[in-house]
Amino acid sequence: MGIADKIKEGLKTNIRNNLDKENIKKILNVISAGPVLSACGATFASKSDKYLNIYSIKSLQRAYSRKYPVAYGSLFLPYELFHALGISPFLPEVIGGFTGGMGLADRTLKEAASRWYTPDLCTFHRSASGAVEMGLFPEPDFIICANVACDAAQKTFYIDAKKFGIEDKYYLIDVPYKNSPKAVSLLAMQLESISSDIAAKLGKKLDPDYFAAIINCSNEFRDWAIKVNDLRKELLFYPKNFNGLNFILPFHGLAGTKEAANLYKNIYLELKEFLEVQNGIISGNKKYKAGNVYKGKTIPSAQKLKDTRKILWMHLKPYYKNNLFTMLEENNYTVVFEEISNVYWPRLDPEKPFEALAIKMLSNPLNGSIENRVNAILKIAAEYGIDGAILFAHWGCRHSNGGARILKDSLKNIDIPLLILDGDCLNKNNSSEGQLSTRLQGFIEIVDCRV
Amino acid sequence: MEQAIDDKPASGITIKGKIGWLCTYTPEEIIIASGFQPSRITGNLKAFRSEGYFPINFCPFIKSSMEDLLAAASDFKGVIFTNSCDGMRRFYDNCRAYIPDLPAFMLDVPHNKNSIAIEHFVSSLKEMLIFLEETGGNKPGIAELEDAIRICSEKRMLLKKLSNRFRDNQASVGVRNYYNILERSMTEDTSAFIKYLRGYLDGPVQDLKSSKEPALNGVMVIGNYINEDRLWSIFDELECTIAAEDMCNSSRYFENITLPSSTAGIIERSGEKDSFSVLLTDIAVRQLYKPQCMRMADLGAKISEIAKNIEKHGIKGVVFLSQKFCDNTLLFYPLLREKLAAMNVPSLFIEIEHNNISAGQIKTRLQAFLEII
Repeated sequence: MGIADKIKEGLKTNIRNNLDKENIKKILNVISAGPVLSACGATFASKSDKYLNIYSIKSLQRAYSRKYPVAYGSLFLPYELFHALGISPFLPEVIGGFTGGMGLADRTLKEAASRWYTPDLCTFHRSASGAVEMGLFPEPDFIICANVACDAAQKTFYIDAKKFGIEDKYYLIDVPYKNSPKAVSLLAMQLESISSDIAAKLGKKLDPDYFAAIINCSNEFRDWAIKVNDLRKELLFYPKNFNGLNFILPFHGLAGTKEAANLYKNIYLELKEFLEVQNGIISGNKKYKAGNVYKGKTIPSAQKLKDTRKILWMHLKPYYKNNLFTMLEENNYTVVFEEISNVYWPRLDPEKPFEALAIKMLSNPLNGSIENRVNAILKIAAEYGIDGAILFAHWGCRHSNGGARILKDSLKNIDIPLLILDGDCLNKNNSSEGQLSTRLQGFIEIVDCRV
Repeated sequence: MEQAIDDKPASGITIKGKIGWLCTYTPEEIIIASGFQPSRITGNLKAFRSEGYFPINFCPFIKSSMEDLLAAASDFKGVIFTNSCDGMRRFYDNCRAYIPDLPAFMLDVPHNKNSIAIEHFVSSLKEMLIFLEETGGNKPGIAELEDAIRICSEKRMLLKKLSNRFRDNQASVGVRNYYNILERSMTEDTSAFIKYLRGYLDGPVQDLKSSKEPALNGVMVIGNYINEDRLWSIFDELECTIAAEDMCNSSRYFENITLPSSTAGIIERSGEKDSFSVLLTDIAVRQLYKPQCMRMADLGAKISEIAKNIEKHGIKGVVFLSQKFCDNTLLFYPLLREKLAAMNVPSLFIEIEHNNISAGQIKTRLQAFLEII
């Protein structure tokens, strides 16, 4: 176990043993302090991991500090709006995911069960609701959600609003089912109306110049993210511990901040460096001898790189300790792209910010008909030349799993096998590790036979 | 206890055929005005082939409804889906993918209730009209739409009368029979059903209950779409008095015959000029402001609706019935339970697996609950 891992484990143990909001706040204050953060950052195996952790910790510390207004937000919101209003975003669903990684899900899920959340519901939402009931999350001033992708957030967020007595500060954004000029106009009207209401409740006005600056920052982040994604079309040799499924918080929650732009710039620079090494390995550069270690990562042979099978990962992953990615790596399979890393929206117009954010929301392939998702997946499959796809069918996610058969058949039409891996992203007790391994092994054998 | 329906109306299928629908936010007026017969898809068949299209932990009502469509798609000229929940959205997708010859339309129903939502919904209704026309229907004018509104209002009014009779003298109607009549109201030819119901309501009131004692231990049933004959028979067998209800196949279907006065201002603000659009706006407001489904944004309003009914009808206990895996309903229960606890009203939570209920277990639980209250 490296230093970074030891520090992480120590923090997890501390939080588990002193499960209390004030303790979480204290820890965040300590680790987000400049010197500690940079010392801690230096222990991470990769630059991408370092910036991801630093910015995530800072974002959480800001929300827990209560020095700024805090708003809970569901996953696919245009967070640029939060930043333009000076609101600190807190994403309960994503932090619900952290409870799995921290080993707290047993306790948060138990709390939710005691409050009549049935076990058939999504564990992200149940765990987040349990954490709210246990008083582990910062108290929100506003709660904002949308109907994109899932029904559960709308309901659990309302229950949270009721708990905190802020039903009048709960907003549900109705994203029209179809993307059309009329839909853009209706959605932009809602975003503007909600912003005005929040600004009035905060006793301030939305500064159009600042809003335009936030939109420009979002565009900068988007540009870097696209560069990262373009680079990944060739990349097979990744930095140690790199997992695109870990970036969900900054990808959404920090959109519109300098941190998001800086994070993706650093990911780009690091991956570019690894691509250069990869090219060196393939061209036979003796500097990169197979078996040697480059920045913590064992250098593969040129043949091994050529034989690598490319995988597209759909939906999310288990956030507790599991061996799925190790198994993939051991069998020379690389996740070359994740559905959630897709930059699906066009450049945002800073002159028309509400319209631009409406377009961003409506461009989400998870909104509307499954055709949107299928088209996005087929485009990714072609661009990344994937050999197979894995859909992690998270327990209780009707939105994603209800379309699994269509996704499978659509990929089958272009001769790409899809593994639907039934499991639970948070609750390890609801995922059979042996069954998951057996199914993954079977899938690997099928893909191996095809090439 | 129940009274059999033996005077079935003559088949009144219109020339243009049936349009299937699934959610009470679908305005039948527009289907009728386009020259079709609206017919609710009720998930009659047990899921078998449809199991292959959906995961194991998925709404059993949707699976059964898919089975209905797989078995008899040709009975329908088209189907109107609504974006009421994740399950329904995926049902629409699977229907389009695997029953491609059946025209399907997704009606976009907003979650909010305000002027933007009304504009949003009116825009969806206009698209629905285009879909129906493309499916072989008429392009209705003001007269056709007004006529259809009148027919639907009459049906709702008669159903309200039936509901009042059921509440005032449950034994004369019977629980199972009541829900059967309600199902017929949603699946059969509208004019023929109106004729039938008028006759039924004009007929003699039979009190089949031996005792003339006033109803005690009245419960309120709350839930989504539950049309299980065996379940309702249990209510009959246990003589469980349903003093109020809030179900997708009862009050949420027929309530709100006239527009509530509170929405008058919103209609004026919508700024529609031509008479046809005004009628569409009226329909949109009626639908959005009817007793709401748990899928809507303002759950506080839903809780208030229920609390008002509990007080008005002196409810002794609530029976909460939810289809398994229905996120909208299941996630409403923690909120409702909290409110019921504050009102000191006990509740019984029963999950239903559509077309596959555990009758014995439910009967035992309901019996125990009735003994407690």
